[in-house]
Amino acid sequence: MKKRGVLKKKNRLPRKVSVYVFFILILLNILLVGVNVAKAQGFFIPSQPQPLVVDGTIDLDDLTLEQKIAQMMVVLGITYNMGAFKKMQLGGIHLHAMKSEDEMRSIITYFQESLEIPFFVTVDLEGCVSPFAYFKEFQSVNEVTSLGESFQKGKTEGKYLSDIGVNVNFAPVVDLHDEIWNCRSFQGTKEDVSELANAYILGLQDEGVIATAKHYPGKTLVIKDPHKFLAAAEITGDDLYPYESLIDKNSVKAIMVSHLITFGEVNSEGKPSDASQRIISGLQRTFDGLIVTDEINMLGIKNFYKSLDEMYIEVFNAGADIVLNFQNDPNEVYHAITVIRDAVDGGIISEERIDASVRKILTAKGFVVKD
Amino acid sequence: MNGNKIWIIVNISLVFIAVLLFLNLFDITVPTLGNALYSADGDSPVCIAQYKDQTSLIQDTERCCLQMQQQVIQGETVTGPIIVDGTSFDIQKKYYTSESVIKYFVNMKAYRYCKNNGFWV
Repeated sequence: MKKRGVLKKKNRLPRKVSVYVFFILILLNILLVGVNVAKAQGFFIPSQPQPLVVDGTIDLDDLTLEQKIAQMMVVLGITYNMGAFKKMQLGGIHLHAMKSEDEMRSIITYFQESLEIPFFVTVDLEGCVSPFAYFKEFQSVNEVTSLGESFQKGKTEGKYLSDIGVNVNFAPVVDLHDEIWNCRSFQGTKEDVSELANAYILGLQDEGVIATAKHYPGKTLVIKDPHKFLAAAEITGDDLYPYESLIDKNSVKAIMVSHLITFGEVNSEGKPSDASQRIISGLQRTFDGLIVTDEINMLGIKNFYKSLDEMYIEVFNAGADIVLNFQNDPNEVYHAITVIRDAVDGGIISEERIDASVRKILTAKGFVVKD
Repeated sequence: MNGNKIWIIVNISLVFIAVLLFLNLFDITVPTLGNALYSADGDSPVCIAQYKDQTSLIQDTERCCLQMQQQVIQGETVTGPIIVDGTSFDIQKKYYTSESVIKYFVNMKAYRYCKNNGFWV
C-alpha cells in the first residue's frame, strides 16, 4: 500500500510541473503573439515630432534627418499601416483601387488627419489603368485624338482628383509606343505625343493636381523586362523628345524615371536609370521640378544589388526627389529611412542633397521653406 | 502516464511555437508549406495583362504582384487557357477592378510567388 502511495505521489509531481509549464508557455506565447502583432503594425517605430509650421512656413532646420528622408518616400496607402506611416511622417501615399468614392475619401481623410505636413496623395490614373474603375470610367489616352480632347481629359480628371483629395497623378505616359499594355500611350508621332501630353498636363495642373511625365528616358513600354533581371535599351533622340518638349514649355511639374538600364543618347552607366547619378543630374540640368523613381520593390532592381540596403543607398544617392517604396511591411520602410540616415551621418550621402529634395517637396506641397 | 505524455507533447508544441514566434520578431523565417508548394510546382510563374481583346505577358512577376495587390477583385478563380502571341497559357486566378481597364491573369505559381514575397493577393 505504501509503495502504491509513493508511486501515486511521484506521478502527481511531474503532472503538476507539466501543468505549471503549460500555463507559463501559454502566457509566453500570448505575449509573443502580442509583440509580433504590435511589431507588424509598426508599434516599435518611433514617432517623429510634429514640425512647427508658422503661417505656412517651415524651417528645414526644425525637421529631423529622419523626417526629411521620410518626406522623400511615397508608400502604398494601406490602412493597416496608417498608424506607422503617420508616425514616420512619410511624404506620400499611393492609392490602390477601391469599391467606392466614399471609401477613397474616407481613407484620404484618415491619413491626412492631424498632420502638419500633409501626404502627397498619388494615383495612377491613365485611363486603362485607374483605381476608380470599379465605380467610374475614364477615357484611355490611346483614344484621345485632339489637343482639345486631351486638355479636357486633363481638366475633367484634375477636377475629380482634386475634389477627392488626390494631389499627384502619375500620368501622362509619354513613351512613344506601348507594345506591352497596348493602351497607355498617346497615338502618333513624337510631336503628337508631346503636344497631346502637354495639353493633358495643362488641364490637369490647372485643377491643382501635379502631373508626372513618365517613364524617363523612354522605351519602358516596348522592352519586356526579362524575368528577374532589368532590361537594357538604347535611347534615341525621338524617345527624349517629349521630355525635352515638356521641359521647354515649362509645363510638367514632375517626371518619373524608370528602372531601365539605358545607353545611346543618355547613358545610365550600366545601372538602373533611377539609380544613376548621371541620368538624374543630366535631367536636373534642364528640369527643376520633382524627379520620381519607379517603384523600388520590383524584382529586377532588387536583384541588381547585393542587398536592399545597397539599393536604398544607390537610389537615394542618385538624386531623385521622391522614391516610390510600396513595401507592405512598415518596419522595412523605417529600416530604409535608418539606412539612408546612417549613410548621411557616414558621409556617403550629403545632407545638402537631402535638403534640396525636401525643399522641392515642401514647396510643391504649398509651404514656404526657410533654411 | 498517458495524461502526462499528453502534457509533455502539448508543452513541447508550445515551446516550438514560442521559438517560431521569437524568431519571427527578428525577421528570421522558416520554410513554410507555402514555400514547399511553390518549390514543388514545376511551372514557371505566368502573369498576363489583358486590355479589351489585347493580351500581353508580363515578365516581371513582382511588378505583376504589385498590380494584382492593387485591384478590387482579388483572386477570382478562372479556368481555361489564355493565348498570348500564339502561345497558350494555363491560368487559374484573375485580378481586376473592372472589365473596362487592364486585368491580370496568373497561374498558381505566380500567385504563390506573390504570396511568398509579401504581397497581399
